[in-house]
This record gives sequence, structure tokens and C-alpha cells, in this order.
Amino acid sequence: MSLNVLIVDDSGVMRKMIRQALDRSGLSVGGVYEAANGREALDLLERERVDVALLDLHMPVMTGEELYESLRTSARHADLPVVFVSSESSAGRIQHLMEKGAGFVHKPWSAEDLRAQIESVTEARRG
Amino acid sequence: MGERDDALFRVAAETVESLAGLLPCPRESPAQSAAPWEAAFRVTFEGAGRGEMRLTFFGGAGAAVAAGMIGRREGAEAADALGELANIVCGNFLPFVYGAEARCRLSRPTPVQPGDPPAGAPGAAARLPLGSGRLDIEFREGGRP
Repeated sequence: MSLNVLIVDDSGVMRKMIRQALDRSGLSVGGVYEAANGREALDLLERERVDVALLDLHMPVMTGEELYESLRTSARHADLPVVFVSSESSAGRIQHLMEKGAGFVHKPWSAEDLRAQIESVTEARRG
Repeated sequence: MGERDDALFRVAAETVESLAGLLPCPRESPAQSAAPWEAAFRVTFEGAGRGEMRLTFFGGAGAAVAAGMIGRREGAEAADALGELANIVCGNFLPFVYGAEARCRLSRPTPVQPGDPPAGAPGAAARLPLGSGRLDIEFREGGRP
């Protein structure tokens, strides 16, 4: 089954590079949607079916962590698999996010890292 | 070259290789040393420490890196790509200086013109000979963020 992927990053260049990495990852990807912050992502999630969301942490308007908390308390999106893609360097903060069930890919990423984390969170959600 | 300089070189080389598929030349040639200024970007940070990371490209190295990252050698998107590179190098280098648990807030990357004075005191420096030019990286601590 193809995955519909939502990329949330305030940098258009980063969104483009993540798209390129998805192309190279070998994952079966259907639709790829983009949002520049958490607020845009929430609006998009009301309109589109998304199977996994890739979130930057540091964004204006609504950060990736705020978006993640919002998703987890939403009846509709509480189970949406999430992978953070960030240059965040605090080991404690990364551990905290992963303990909450999110995946984490460090910038700069490899297509293999991205694939492994997406597969991990989507399989975990399928149970 | 000090420990910090070594770490900065490694972080920058790994980032350029991962994102642009380019490896630094093992030795700098006279042409790379004399290559003209091309573009520069700065990211400031504040939190566990305060300062800036500045990446300066010479002699077409910036165009080559941008092409490797997004397939464009010039224009606004190419400039954005080089700014993002500065952001990632800074984010990955800070743990070497302030520790793995330290948290810093990074600014959006901004272009820098030749002669724009840097902030703070020198903290580390590295040089990557790339293609026909080079990339100079300078990490500075303190000063205005």
C-alpha cells in the first residue's frame, strides 16, 4: 500500500530535499503534501488522508512539538504516525520525543534513515 | 588544528557529503586558496551559549553545493539551500561545544556581505576545499546574537 506523506517544515528547500529523499528511499509513496508550520498542517489534515507526518521541530506559528501534542489529543489524528526530522541536538529532548512514540531522523539525514524511521512508526501504529 | 576545529571540519564535511554528495579535496590547491568570494550565510544561536556560525563560499563551491542539494546552482532557492546548510552545521556542532544535553535556539539563516563584521570571539574554524573553490566555516562565541 502506498503511503500518503505530510512534510511540515518552514523551509521550502528542506521540504524539497525531504521529497527527494522519499523518492530515493524505496518506500511506496502515494501523495506528498507540504505545510510550512503546524497550523497549516492541521488545516491540511482536515482535508487529506495522511498516513505519516514528517515534522520539523523549530517552526514559526506552531512548532513541531506543539503540533505533535495537538495531534495526540485529537480524536481524529491521535494515532497518526509521526517522525521528527530536525537538527535538534539535545539528547534528552530527542529521547523525550521518542518515548512519546515519535520517530526521529537527524539532519543531515540519509534516505535509509528516513525509510527506517517511517517504517518503524507506521508498523508500530498498525500494531 | 585544535579539537574544536577538528570537530567543526568533521561536522561540515559530513553535512556537505550527506546533503550535497560532495567530498572535500584532500589538499587545498593554490587556485582554491585564491578563489574569489562567492556568498556567505550566518546563523546565530542563543541558549546554553551565544554566538554565530558563518559559512563563506568561494570560487563556485556554493554553486556546486546548492546543485548537489537541490539541483539549482543559483537564485533564491540555491541561496536558501546554502542557508539551511549553515543551520544544520551549526545545530550539529553545538553539542561538541556545550554538551549533548545543551539546548540552543537557532536563528533563521541570513546572507552576509563581504566586510560584515562577525560577532563575538573566534571559537573554531575549518576549511573545506571543494571543487574549484572552498568553504570556510567560522564559529564564534559571545557578542551580539
